[in-house]
Amino acid sequence: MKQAAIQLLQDDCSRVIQEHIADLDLLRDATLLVTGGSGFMGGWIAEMVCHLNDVHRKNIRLKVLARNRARFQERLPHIAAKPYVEFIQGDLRDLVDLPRDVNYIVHAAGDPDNRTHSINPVGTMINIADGTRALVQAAERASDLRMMLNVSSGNIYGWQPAELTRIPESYMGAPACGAAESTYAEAKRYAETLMTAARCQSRLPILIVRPFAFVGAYQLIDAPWAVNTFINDALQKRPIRVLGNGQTVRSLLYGADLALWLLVMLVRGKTGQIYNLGSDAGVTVETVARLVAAQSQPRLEVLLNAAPSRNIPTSILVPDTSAATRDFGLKAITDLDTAIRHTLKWHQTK
Amino acid sequence: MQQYRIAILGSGNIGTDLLVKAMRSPHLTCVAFIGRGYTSPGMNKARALGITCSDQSIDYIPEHADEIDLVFDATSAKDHALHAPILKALGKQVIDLTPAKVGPMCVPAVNLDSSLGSSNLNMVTCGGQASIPVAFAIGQTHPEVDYLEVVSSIASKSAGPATRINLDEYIETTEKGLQAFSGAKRTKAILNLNPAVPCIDMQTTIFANVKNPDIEALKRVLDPIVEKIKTYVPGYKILVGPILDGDRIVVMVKVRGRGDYLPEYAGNLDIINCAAIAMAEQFAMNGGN
Amino acid sequence: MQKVTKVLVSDPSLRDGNHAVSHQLSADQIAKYCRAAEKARIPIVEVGHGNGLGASSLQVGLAKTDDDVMLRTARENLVNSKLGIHIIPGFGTIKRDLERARDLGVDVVRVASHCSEADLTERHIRFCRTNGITVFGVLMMSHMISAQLLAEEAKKLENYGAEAVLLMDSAGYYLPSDVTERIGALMDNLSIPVGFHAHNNLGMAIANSVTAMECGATILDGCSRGFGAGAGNAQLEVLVAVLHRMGIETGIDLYGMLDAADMAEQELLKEIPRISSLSVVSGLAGVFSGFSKHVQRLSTEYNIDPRDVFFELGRRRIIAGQEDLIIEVAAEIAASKKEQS
Repeated sequence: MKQAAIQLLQDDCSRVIQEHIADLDLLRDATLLVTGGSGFMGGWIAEMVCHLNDVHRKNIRLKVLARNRARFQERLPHIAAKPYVEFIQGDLRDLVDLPRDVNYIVHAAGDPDNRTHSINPVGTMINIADGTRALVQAAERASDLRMMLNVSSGNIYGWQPAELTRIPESYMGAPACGAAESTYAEAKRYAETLMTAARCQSRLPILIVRPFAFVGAYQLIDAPWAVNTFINDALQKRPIRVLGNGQTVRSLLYGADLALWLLVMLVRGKTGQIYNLGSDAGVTVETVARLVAAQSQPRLEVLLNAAPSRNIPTSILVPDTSAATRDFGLKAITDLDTAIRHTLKWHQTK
Repeated sequence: MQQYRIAILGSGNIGTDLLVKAMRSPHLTCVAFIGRGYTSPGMNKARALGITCSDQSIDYIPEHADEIDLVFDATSAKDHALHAPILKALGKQVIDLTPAKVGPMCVPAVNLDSSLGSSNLNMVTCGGQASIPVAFAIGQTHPEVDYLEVVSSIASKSAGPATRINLDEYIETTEKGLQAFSGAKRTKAILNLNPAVPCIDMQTTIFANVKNPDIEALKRVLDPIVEKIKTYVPGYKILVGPILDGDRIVVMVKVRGRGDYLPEYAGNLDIINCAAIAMAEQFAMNGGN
Repeated sequence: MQKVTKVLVSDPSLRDGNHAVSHQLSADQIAKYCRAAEKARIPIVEVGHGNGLGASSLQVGLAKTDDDVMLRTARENLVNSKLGIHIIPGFGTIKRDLERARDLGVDVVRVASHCSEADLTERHIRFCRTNGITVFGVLMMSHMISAQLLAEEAKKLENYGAEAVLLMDSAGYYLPSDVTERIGALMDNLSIPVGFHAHNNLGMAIANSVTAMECGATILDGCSRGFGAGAGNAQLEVLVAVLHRMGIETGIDLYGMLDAADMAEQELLKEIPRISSLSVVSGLAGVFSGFSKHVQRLSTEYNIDPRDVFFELGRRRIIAGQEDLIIEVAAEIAASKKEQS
């Protein structure tokens, strides 16, 4: 990655962190372990840790546990080179011993790519279940574990009803049981409950976070989420193609904001709490496409691909994040237009 | 000299920590790590260490009797009651880490030599291993011990579901051990679980009511015993005392574990394993069988 | 929620009060108070060492009267009032203590644990259920974990078979808003009655008890003249009067209650519990009220400021039952003081 691209990410971290520097002082001299640390979330957490260490001298030790060292070094070379970053190669499912000095854990392992879920649904479920099991069993023997943050998924709520503009944490919806498309969400539900069981049985300090949708650097450009394909189209200077009628409603939070929210919740959250994580500003996919299109000169064309109307209700997935705002003062700092612009620029620079 | 070969029955936390300790010992060779299934973290650890693993539980031992000199039983009191006669018939030396109390109680710092003659040794309880040496010293220096009391505080995290369910048995066994080694007329054991983070180290306080307390005499006997314990439990430390507080003798002990498989705060589990390993090494040095 | 119209009052004067007199209540005192309580028609009278059955020890304090005598005496003098006991697993065992209590005719057993350790109570609760003894679960030092976690621990007690769950504000730390949050969380999650046991370190015992009732608690603890650990408990005769004024049924005869309290002051109390400066510190620090006598004694012995001891105990999150650690803390403070001078 070019220095200019790294600088863009660091500028983003610096911009969003301003009001929360004091909160994050709790990370000073602590050891943070991130499982699945070479993905989108892992990348942004690492950027934020670098910012905290390099600018604010927090002296955080970051340990990244993931299966593939080469992938980590390829995707995050500048992070891998930091003296305070250690890569632990291994399959989480076989984890026995955690690093002895671990104080905080972000359990972000798990592939959210729904193509993988369709190709390998059994593997998807087993990976999530066994990885989480191994982690909680190892954490039982950690002596100064202050918080383990379990990254769940907004998908665990199942279908969002049209009359509900935003899903609160208390919403009792669930994915359809026994449905082929429920594998990932159901496994994530299981992981949440297993974490809770470990909290009740072994007094592990555990916080559950349910992330929704995001945009930003480190998202794979070929990932199947709408915004990525739009950004890919824009980078290729071709018309932006929307699958379907574009009326699906999502909300997108920027990567730097995501990392900030995760770390603030990790250090300030109380065991047993559950928070949605995302933007609460719902937008149609068509709007997102048009925002991406507007970033190019001349403006790119947006193509909808609607099937004849079949009375399928519009899919909505937007979190109510008032709990995060109330308890931690967290809100989306980067607006969607800025988020898209910065993401495009990073891709063009790197 | 041929290596002394040990097998570990029970692949839970205690068994796994024993394995790590046994592997460090120059006198012991672990020839089998035996559980009831292959999916536990302990089994994963043992496999990673290159140890022969089995999921056949007690059935493994008769089939491999010729390869094993000593068996550590780290299962449960109920299971050990079933295992003990089988192991006895095979003529195996047994160190029992459960509260089954089949064999005589063994606290190496106090009765190592006399324990060597027993084919099944019971390691009392964690609180017992920490407090009995002190109780013994009190008994040695005071002909009349009216009452002896031991209060242990351990990290809540170091007490799993089995420990919690068996709290009463822990108290009963510890009280019996204290009585046997100190000669006190009455004994009492109390256990506290503290959930604080970072986890607290195991701490044990011994109180005694005796006729004519003699702190100096007690110190003279206790000091060499503590040195002896430290040879096999490096994290054993007298924190306070012996002092006379009113008319009671008080000694406070802290046990910090070695942090082998179990974390350092679990000194309560570490001390019983350290004692078991110390005994096994003694058997090994005596030439085994 | 349905408005509470009836409260079950439980009186631990002869148990919690034992903390205030270093566990020196005599059989004679117990007999006298039981007769007065019986006359006042107090529904449950709890007796025992301050930390309950099997807790007489050098650690907490040796009781003047042993459990057997206490229970027999109380049993002989209680007819309509029920005989209750408190037991903490780790101190009291089933074989040594609960079986005997059953044989001596105990009516109500309250099995208690530190607030986050409810799983220690399962076997004791099961024993009571199997033997047909009314059993309540108690979470002590309940200010130390969040409302949500308390509700989870309380649910464990319900699952084990407890017929009610009580929260103890063992440190006298709560303000009415804390009570609302915690009792409310229990009400939302349990199907069994909920109760509250107050201490008065911050002068909130009666107010907190009333708040608990208004949130749905139907069991309240109080002691005559507040006779209990530290700054004392909710003063029972006041609590009963307040409840009666609010139109709440307790089944207690007010004159009888006032007579019992006067009798207690004459015959039981060494001094009337008051909110001493030290009690305020103990409450603020969130330290178990039962520690106060030990802290005072050791602070004098080591010539240190007892307030420093309370704050240090609070900082270390020492829980009830860890009285031995007061010695360690006192010794450390004395040593650091010596170093500084």
